[in-house]
Amino acid sequence: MTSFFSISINKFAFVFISDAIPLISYGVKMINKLMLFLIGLTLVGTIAYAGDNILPYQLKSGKPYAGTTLNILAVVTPQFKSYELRDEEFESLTGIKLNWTHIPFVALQEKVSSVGVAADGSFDVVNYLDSWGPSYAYWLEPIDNWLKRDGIDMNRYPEAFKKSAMFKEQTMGFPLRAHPQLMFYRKDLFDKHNIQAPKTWADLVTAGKTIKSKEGIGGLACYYGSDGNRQNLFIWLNFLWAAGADVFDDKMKPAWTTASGLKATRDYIELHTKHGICGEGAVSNVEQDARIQYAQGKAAMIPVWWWAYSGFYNPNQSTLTKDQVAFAGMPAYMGKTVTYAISMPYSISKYSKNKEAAWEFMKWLSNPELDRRNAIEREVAGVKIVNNVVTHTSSMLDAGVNAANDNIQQAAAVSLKNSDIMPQIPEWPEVGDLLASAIQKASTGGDVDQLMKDAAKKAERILKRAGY
Amino acid sequence: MRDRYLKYLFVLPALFVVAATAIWPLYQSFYLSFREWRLNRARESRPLWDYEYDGLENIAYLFDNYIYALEDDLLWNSIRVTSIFTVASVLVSVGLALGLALLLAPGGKFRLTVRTLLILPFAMSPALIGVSWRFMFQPDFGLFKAFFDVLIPPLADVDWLGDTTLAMVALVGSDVWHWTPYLTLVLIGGLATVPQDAREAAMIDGANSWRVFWDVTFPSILPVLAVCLVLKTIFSLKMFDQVYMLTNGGPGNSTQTLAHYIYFNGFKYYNMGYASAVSYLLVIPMFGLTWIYMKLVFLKK
Repeated sequence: MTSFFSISINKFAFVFISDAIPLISYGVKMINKLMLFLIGLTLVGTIAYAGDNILPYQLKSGKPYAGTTLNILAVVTPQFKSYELRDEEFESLTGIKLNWTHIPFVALQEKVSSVGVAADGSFDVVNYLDSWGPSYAYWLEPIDNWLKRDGIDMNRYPEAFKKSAMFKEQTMGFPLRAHPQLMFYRKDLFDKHNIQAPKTWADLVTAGKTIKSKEGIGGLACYYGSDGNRQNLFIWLNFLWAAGADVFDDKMKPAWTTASGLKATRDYIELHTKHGICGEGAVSNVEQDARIQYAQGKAAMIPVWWWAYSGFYNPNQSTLTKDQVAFAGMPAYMGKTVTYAISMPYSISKYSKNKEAAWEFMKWLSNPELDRRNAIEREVAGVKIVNNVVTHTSSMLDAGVNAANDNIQQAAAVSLKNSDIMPQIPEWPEVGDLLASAIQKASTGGDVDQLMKDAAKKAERILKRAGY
Repeated sequence: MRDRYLKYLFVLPALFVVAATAIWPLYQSFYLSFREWRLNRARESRPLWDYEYDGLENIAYLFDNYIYALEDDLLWNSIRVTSIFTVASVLVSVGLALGLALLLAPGGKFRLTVRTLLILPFAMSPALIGVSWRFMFQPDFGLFKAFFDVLIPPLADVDWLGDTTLAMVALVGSDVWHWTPYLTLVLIGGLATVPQDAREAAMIDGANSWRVFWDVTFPSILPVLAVCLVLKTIFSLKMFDQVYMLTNGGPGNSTQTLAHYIYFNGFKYYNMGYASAVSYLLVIPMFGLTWIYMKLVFLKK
């Protein structure tokens, strides 16, 4: 019995094994294939999953701040309106909601100041003028550690823009709205009188006199008015820096009273008092008045920020057509062109309760691709937007951006090659206003040297009290 | 007994509002005037003098803001500008108002219509007046340019806001335009109280219109006129809105009033301690004028 069973089992085993070998071999092959399939599936899944989470602009994957609402305080401009209209893109990437408050520039300083005083984090991100930055630095969050962590290099901005968002060697934010100076002129009138775009201020005076005598309009739209935002220093700084002088010396003493500084100031004032090339109201005009004067055909040239370009041929704001408006770089003074640049950075409030989420927003908002698109696309979410402001060097040199904006960005890049900003100290508004008042009074025919020396004396007193 | 205390209870809400909106800010700004407090570093406020650190011999540090103010050329300039503006605007607006009141007081349909329309300039916001006048003085497209082009061509090319003297004229002009109608209405009310029989008696006695005005009308409306003068002086001393919107203190600092100077120091330069100290320099004449005003109103009653 035992042997029967053993024989049977052996036989069975033999038969089974001999029959099973091809089956096992087939099964192994199948398992191998299955394994390969599963590995492939896993890889594909992993890649697909990873693909979903490799977000652009160094944004964090996995939407860790989903559900957060950020409050943004920004100035009224088409550029920022356009960003707001792109909110959905940011929200879909991060799950963070944005709540924008747009304030007209004239009321922005008081509003931003009140945010700092309230210190309650009511706004997570604020937008301000660079020269106010040092005063606000106390309650703004430096972003250097975040920049380092996410590998963002501030050298992507022109030097003057980069500097405008810094205070005491720390980066306080991104210069998201920033402007170089350009000289806009009436192409039709220049062609008519066979005048070239001025390369020097002497050329400009000659052109201005020709236009004024032959056309009866202002040669240059000047703005010597003191408005509390020191606008009448914009062009003065070009003269001052090109003459090799400066606002302060190394010891933070007023330096505009050097011989070269005073001569530069006299030459700037004499555009009006001696050469008489300015349009009407030069002494009381602020920048906006001058822009209106040019746009209404009452002056043939205006040195102003590049953002003004579209307004100069917008039929709702101007009597000029696009082919009447041309632009060139700023003229040279004493053989040198140094321009003044301005910016309106975005910073994170130290009082924000959502700083990491705010940083995600800042990365998205400041990314070069968005910067580029924002100057090319003329319609966002069904709304017509005209914006030529970009802040990255790459955008300024971008063919698409230039093609969409009559190459104004190329001219801007040239303007920014040798450019600087106003002094970044908290006392600058007070000192700057002294200068602005002196310059306005000088433009009424006052003694330039004496007024500038008086301003220096008063400025020294302010600086001394501030501990310099 | 209950009634004796109940009346105080009724006054309490009003007292609370006055304390919160006037007394507390007055106290707080006085306190701040002895401290270094900057709006941009709102959480930091330090006394200008610390007994333990500075010692009693340096107690003068406590008055640092006041000392700095007294040596500040720009402050003295703003005091000078405020004085010029106040004298000019008070004299012109009250003088014009008196003239208009005498013209409009007799009544009649036309005069009543004019009286009603007079309130319109006063109903306008001073800031809006400043903006409107700035537009009207615009040298390329302004209303005044068009007006002078036709009537007085030599004045058409004048840059009103670009001249230190003319800017002050423009500022006073806008303020006079704003205040004269209201003062006129007040003086018309005063003229209505002049006893008609006294006027008639003087005329019967052979007094001409000038003598009637000078000897009868003027003494009768003197208390009202004094109230107008004091009230207008108070408002002129704290002139800010139109300065800010029309000239912004320029050209240079030639139209910078004290209130404008305080605003800039407090809210543009964030130096609240210093701005508070300077504000107290304005409080002193204001307090004196308010006291006179109260006396006059009390006398009138």
